[in-house]
This record gives sequence, C-alpha cells and structure tokens, in this order.
Amino acid sequence: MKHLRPILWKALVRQYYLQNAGFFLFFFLFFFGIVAPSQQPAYHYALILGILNTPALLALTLFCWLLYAMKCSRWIIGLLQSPDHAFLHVLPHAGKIRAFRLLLEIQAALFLPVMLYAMVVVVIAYIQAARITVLLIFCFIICVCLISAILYWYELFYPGRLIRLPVLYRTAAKRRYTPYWSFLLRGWATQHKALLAGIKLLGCGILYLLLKIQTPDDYDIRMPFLVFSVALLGHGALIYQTRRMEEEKLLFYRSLPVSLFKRLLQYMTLYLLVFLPEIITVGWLMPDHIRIKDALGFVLAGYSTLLLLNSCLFIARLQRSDMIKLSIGIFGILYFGVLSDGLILLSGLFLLTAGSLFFGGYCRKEG
Amino acid sequence: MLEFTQFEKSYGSRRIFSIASCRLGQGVYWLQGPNGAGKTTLLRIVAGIISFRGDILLDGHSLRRDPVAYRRSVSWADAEPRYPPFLTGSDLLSFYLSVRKAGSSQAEDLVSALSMKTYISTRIGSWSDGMIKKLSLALAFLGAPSLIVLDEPLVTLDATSVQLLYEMIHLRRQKNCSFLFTSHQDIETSSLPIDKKILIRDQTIETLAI
Repeated sequence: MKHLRPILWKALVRQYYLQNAGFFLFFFLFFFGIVAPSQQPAYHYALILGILNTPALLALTLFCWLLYAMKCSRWIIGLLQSPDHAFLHVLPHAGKIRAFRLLLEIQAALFLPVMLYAMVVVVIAYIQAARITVLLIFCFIICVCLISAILYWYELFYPGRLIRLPVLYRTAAKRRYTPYWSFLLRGWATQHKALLAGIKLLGCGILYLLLKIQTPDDYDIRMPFLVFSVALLGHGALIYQTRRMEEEKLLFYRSLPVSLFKRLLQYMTLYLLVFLPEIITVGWLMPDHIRIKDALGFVLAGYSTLLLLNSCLFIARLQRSDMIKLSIGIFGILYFGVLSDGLILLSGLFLLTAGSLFFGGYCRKEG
Repeated sequence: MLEFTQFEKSYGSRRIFSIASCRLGQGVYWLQGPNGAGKTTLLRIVAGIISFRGDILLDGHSLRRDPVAYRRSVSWADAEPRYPPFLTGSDLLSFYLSVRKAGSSQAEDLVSALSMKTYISTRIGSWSDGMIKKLSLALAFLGAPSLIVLDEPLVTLDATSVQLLYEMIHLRRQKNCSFLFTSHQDIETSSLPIDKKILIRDQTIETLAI
C-alpha cells in the first residue's frame, strides 16, 4: 500500500494535467496573453481589487471556480467509473481514513491553479483589510475540496450510487426519437458541461464587452475578432473529445444506412446549436455596435471554423497536441482574414474545405 | 449473397487480406482463424465500418457505389460493445428504429425476449457487460437486414441468453437472413445449424463444409 500515492498521482493528477493541457493553455492565453507583460501586475491587481470591491464580481469569480471544481470532480468520477481504471478500486483496502486523505490530496492537486490565484487574492484582501472576503475564500476552497473528496470517496466505497443525471439528460431520455447530433450534444452537456459553459460564457462575454464599446465614430472590429477567435478555438477541446467518443463508443453509427450528406448535416446542426449563443449576442449588438457585413463575417467565420476543426479530425487520427497546432494554424489564417477584411470569403473557403475533408475522410477509417 | 471483388486490406505495409474474387451464398457462416488473423477486421469491413480496397457486394448492392442500400442490408454487433454511458437503452433502440425504419413492436419483442425490460430505460453507464452485450445483439436484430454480422456473440452471455440467441438466429434463418459470426467458444451444431466454416488463411478465406 505504500506505493499508492505515486500510482494515484500518475493515474489521476498527471493524466489530468496532460489531458487538459489545451484547456489550461486557453485560459493562460486569456488571462495573461491579452495584456503586455510589463502591464501584467497592474492589470491583475486592478482585476483583484474589482473582485474584492464588487460583490457581484466576487460571486462570479467564485462561480467560475465552482465550475472548475465541477470539471475536476466529473473527470475523477468518470475515471473511477471507467473499466480502464478498475485498479483504483484497490484504494478502499488502504482504510477509510487513509483513502479519504489521499483523495483530498488529489483534489487539492487538481484545484491547485485556482488555489494559487486565490492565494494572491487573499493576500491582497488581507492588505486591504477585507477580512470577510478572506474568510469567505478560505471557506469556499476548503468546502470545495472536502465535498469533492467525499464524492470520490463515496464512489470508491459505494460504486455506482452517485446520482449524476442532469435535468437536461432526464428530459431528453423521455423523448421518443433522438437524432444523432443530440447524442453528441448530450455528451457535452453531461461530460464536459463545465468546459462548455466556460467557453460559452467567455465567447459571449468577450463579444459583448468588446463590441459594446464600438461606436460609429470609433469603429474597429479587428481586435474584438482576434480576442473572440481565441475563445472560438477553445471549442477545439470539445470537438476533440466528441470525435474520441464517436470512435470509442458510437462506432455503430458507421454501420448504419445513413448517407454521407445526412451524416454531415448532423455535425452542421450540432455546431449551429452550439454556436447559437454567439450568434444571438452578435445579432443583439447589430447594427448599433457592429455593422451587418461584419456581423455576418463574425458568425460565418465562427461557424465555419468549428466545422473545419471537426472535419480535420476525420482525415487523420490527431493527438491533442496536433489539435493545438491545428488551432494555432487556423488562428493565423483568421488573423490574416480579419486584417484583409475578407472574413466572409474566408468563411466560404473554410466551409468548402470542411465539406471536402469530411466527404474525403469519413470513409477512410483505417481500423 | 456476399461477393468480394479485388478485395484488399492492409495496415501500413502489412497486408491482411488479398482476395481476387469470392462469393458466399445464403446461410450461417462461422468465421475462424487464430488471434490476429483479421476476423474482427473482416467483420468490420463487411459491416461497412472500416476502409478497404476493391469492392464488396451484398445482394447486388455495392458498398462502394451504393453504401446506403448496402448498409440497409447488413447489421453488426461488436465483440465488446461500448456505448456512451449517459445514453439509455431506449435511446439507442429508438434511434436504430428510426434509422432502420423498423416497427416499434419489433424492438418490444426483442427487449422482452432478452429479458431487458427492467433496465432498458436506465443509463447504460450502470449496466454490466452482459447487459450491454444483449443490447448490442437486440440492436443488430432490428429491421430486416439480409446479413447479420456478429463478432463473438456468445462472450459474456449467460446460458439462457445463449439459447435465446440460437432461437433468434433460427427464426431469422427461416426469413432468409444470413449470419456471419466469429466465436472462440465451441458451438454444438445441434443447437445452431451452421452451414459452413470460413477459415482465414494466407490473406484469403476458404469455406469448409461442416
């Protein structure tokens, strides 16, 4: 039993950070990439002061941290329930208290990025004499870690008893006919909901905040689009997970009598629904803060990028690192597109490429 | 029924199959070969899941030229089926019914015959391997395929379910449905009348009388 800790760290913590490298890169770029390095301390200090002085912003921050904690919990519980990690059920033999202590350690390690940032917030809050906020953050982190560890412990000692059915799933389960795209959407809503919610909040938030400041006299959509395209490419992590789920657990769909065009329509429907919040946000700000032509460019470029990312995964068995490289490449092309005022043309090219790659790649499954 | 023409399959530089021409008539076929011979690969190719060179025809429908009609005539159950844990058995049944344009009474009969009524509406994530296997078999029998491809259909099934499966195969045979399956477990020909064995040898297939 003395080797338990290294095994757990290797199987859970290391795997978590490896598999979520794209997620962390995206958030790193979002928090530290949008401001020049020399302005980073001042920017984050101002941000933290805003969190400390505005209860709504503090609540939003805690909510985001909670979403991240849910993502960690979902990941660990998913592993505990997967056949590949059945060996983890040896943990109860270490004893109830030791097992709990180890799981608490694991949770703390996964929650480390939040705890590090929270530590900076706590130090500044202490200097600002905001003692209630300090207490609140401490209690929040302790509660989140304890509750998560209890959930893991419960899943290990009483496997299969945790109720994890979200409302969306229960409602969908009652329906008679379920189209294929709804399986994929439910996969996102049940297994990656924190990531999905985070990407949607960020995408729509960036669009709203950066477009709202545009006026007819001071109008330049290049920067809003570039920042938005980072959030857009964050979808790459979800698309990658979807393709993985299809290859592992929805293989039967390939054997069903469905034409290639109808198969493509499933993805077109899925990504249209996924991109709907951004479409609504742009539509809402049009035409006062964004011109109709630019709004069309935003929507088409966003939608075609999602389809292109999806289709690229049909031509080759890409690894997560390849997906990041691909996303960066697409970001470069989008950058060129927005600078040359050719977003609509670029979207057309993306759509054509996505269609060609899909039709060419779908039937080439090797094994 | 099933024809292979200029059929080839390779993984990288390793050639698995090279069949110039082969025709299988209607019947129940037991595909045999050692581990790694390519049994699962062949079944997946016939089911229209993975790519190959050449062509396969089922009842005159080419998998290359008329893939939808071909796939309408074939159905498949995997050796170790895996489905998303958040779906229910009912979700998959209703999805298959709509795609295969089958009547819901057929699904109800299969669910009842395989004793799946009590759990079919629950999340697959909470099912045992045997329960998932029965679901994959029920899905393969939905609709009116002329060929049902079963990869290790007896694995994880209990004795009662094995007998039920034999009965289901008997009933479908009476409706001219053919079967192509692999099994490492012995099958008594008195329980399941097998027409021919197919042996994978030297990148090709040979049919042997029972």
